[in-house]
Amino acid sequence: MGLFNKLKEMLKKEEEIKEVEIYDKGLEKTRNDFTSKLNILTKKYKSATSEYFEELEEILIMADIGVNTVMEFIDRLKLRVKKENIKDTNELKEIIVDELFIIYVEDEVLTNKIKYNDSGPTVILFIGVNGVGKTTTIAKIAHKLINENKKVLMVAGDTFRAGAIEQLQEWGKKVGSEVVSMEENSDPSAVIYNGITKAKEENYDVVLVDTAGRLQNKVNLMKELEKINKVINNLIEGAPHETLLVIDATTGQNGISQAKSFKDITNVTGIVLTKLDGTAKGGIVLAIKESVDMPVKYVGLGEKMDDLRAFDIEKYIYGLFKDMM
Amino acid sequence: MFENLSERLQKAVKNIRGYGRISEDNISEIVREVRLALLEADVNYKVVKEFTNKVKESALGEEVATSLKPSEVFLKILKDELLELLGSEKNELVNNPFNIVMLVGLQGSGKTTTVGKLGNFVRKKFKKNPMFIACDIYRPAAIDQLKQLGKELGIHVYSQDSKNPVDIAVNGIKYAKENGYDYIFIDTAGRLHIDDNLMDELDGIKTSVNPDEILLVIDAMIGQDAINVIDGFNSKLPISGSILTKMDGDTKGGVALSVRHLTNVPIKFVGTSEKLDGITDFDPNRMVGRILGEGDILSLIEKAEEVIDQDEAKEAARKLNKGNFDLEDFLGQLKQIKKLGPLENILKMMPGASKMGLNNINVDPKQLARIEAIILSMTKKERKNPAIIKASRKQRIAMGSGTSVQEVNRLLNQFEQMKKMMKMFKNGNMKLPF
Repeated sequence: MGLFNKLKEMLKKEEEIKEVEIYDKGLEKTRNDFTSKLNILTKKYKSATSEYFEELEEILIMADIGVNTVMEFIDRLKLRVKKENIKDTNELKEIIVDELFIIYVEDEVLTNKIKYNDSGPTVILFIGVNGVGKTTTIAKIAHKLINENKKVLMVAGDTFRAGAIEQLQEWGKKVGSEVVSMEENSDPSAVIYNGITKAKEENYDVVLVDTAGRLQNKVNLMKELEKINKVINNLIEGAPHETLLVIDATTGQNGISQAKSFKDITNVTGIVLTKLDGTAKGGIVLAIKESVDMPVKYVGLGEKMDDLRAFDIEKYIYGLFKDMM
Repeated sequence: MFENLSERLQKAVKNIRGYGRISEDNISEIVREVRLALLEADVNYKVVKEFTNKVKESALGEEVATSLKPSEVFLKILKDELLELLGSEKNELVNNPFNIVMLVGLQGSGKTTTVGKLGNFVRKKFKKNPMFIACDIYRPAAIDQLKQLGKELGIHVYSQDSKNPVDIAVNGIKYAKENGYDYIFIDTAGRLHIDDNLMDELDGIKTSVNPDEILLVIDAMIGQDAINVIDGFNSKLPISGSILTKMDGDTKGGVALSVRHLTNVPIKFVGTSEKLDGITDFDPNRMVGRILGEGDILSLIEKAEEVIDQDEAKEAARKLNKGNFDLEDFLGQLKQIKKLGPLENILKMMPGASKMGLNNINVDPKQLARIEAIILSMTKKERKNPAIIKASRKQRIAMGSGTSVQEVNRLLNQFEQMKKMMKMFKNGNMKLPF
């Protein structure tokens, strides 16, 4: 119960309220699905029987929390039930939330803040499979940074997909950011080279680099990513300062494979989880955290410009479980 | 596609080989293995439950009745039950004198690219004159994207500066009829199935143009939410089929096993590469073959027939027989092979691919390009008679192709060996392996 009260207290503060509301709304679907199922389960079973655990397992798997994560979770829960002699499923409900929270936090200080470069432009590289929303995410982050009075440059590094360059250019006009691009099918490294050189010369604060969507099992495309990294690093030492892997929240277990493969190739520093508002799931946050240990830095909670939020686990948990508090 | 699932299921079947007979005890363990494999592949939880129960039941029921080995029995049961899930018939795309097909789906599922691929498909397969209508007025540059695809394919794209997708669709159809187009694809904006306004808009398009098919485009990587998405679309629109995209990723594609069973919406196509011919019609029988590691020779042959020039192939075979197959011919063969698409996709269709370790092979297309470059840097004379290629020629070829003398040597050696092998076949010293 301690956790719940702490959260409630913390989130009462004035400036937090608006932020909480966005989470609240964006996670409505997930919450309704997950908590109502959990409530029904609790009503159905007064005590923690093996049928109770089996149905709980089903609820968790349906939320796209990875199969292994769920299996281990259930084992841990059973152990705790035995050790603490818990009989009432109502009591168990809180322990479940508690344990889920533990998976995510697991004795570490969460660093979901963007790491800025003090001595020149900060380069943020966006990568991911096709159709996850990389370009849109870049636009939203640009919008956010411009509001913080940063000088932002966007680089159209997706030279492969038809219309990708135009898409970024249109966003550039909308959010008021310069866009560096070359024609379709040119070498992405060349565009990125131009972009970063421009950023250095003209003292931009942040460079947001778009890349083509690539499935993680395509060796050549993954190699291209290595080259892109090299080009960036040659121009600015220590760059890219952030490499954000964009993942669609409706993705299932393949999200784990995506996180693993991209991590092998590049130094992924964080995850942007898009389209979280449309899904009743999003359990992939927990699955990825447990299997590859990467922090989620942003979540997409709606289609509006302001709906991309810096990820906050406490608000996330609150958004998910507020009906149970 | 399905590699991981396939491997795990095959492992389960292999385990059963150790048992003399199927019993309550050992079947539970194997069914557990199957269950985990399916869950990890994002197959819907309810489908998994049903599936494993059925498999278990049939396996126990059948033990006495048959003289087959337990692994064979189990494999057959798996096969039958998988077919049951996928539906055993193939579902063809509509082919009337005039057709309207509308594509719908979530954002980023690949609708626009799929429109391009389907246009290409109906033109090739049905000999139709396709046209695209761009109704995605929301996503920036979506119309540009479709126009670029249209330009690449030489297919007309109808678009207009309007804020009303229904108007665009209606005017597009009118335009198509007036201008002799007979297969129309309507690209719509991506939307969440829970967005009522946008869903109403789709309904508006549907009512005003009355499409022959409404296809739901689904990202094969989708997780357990798949069922909500499909139900969401299907409850508001009469979905006639689904298309699973990005199947060339390492996704386990569990959605393929859930869609049809839970919603009765058949799968019509799967997207298999980023190229514009990267779409294949979905055949449940072949798919099950792939999942169970039996390969998909039929698709391989079809694919080959589609792209390989018969005359050229015959000529090459004739030369092979006569023993005067030269590097020029080799180059021709290489080009044919390239038309088949990524080699790893081809290898995966081979029976027993995973047993031979072929399923995880990555062929670097650059390797093929280098071989091609080496041959192209040779003179005609050198190609006809590689024996004349000595040190200085080798150096020139290496320079010309941007490779090294070692690489030129390697190619020449391999070619020599190949020729020797062929001579042996010809002289009857060795039996052809097929």
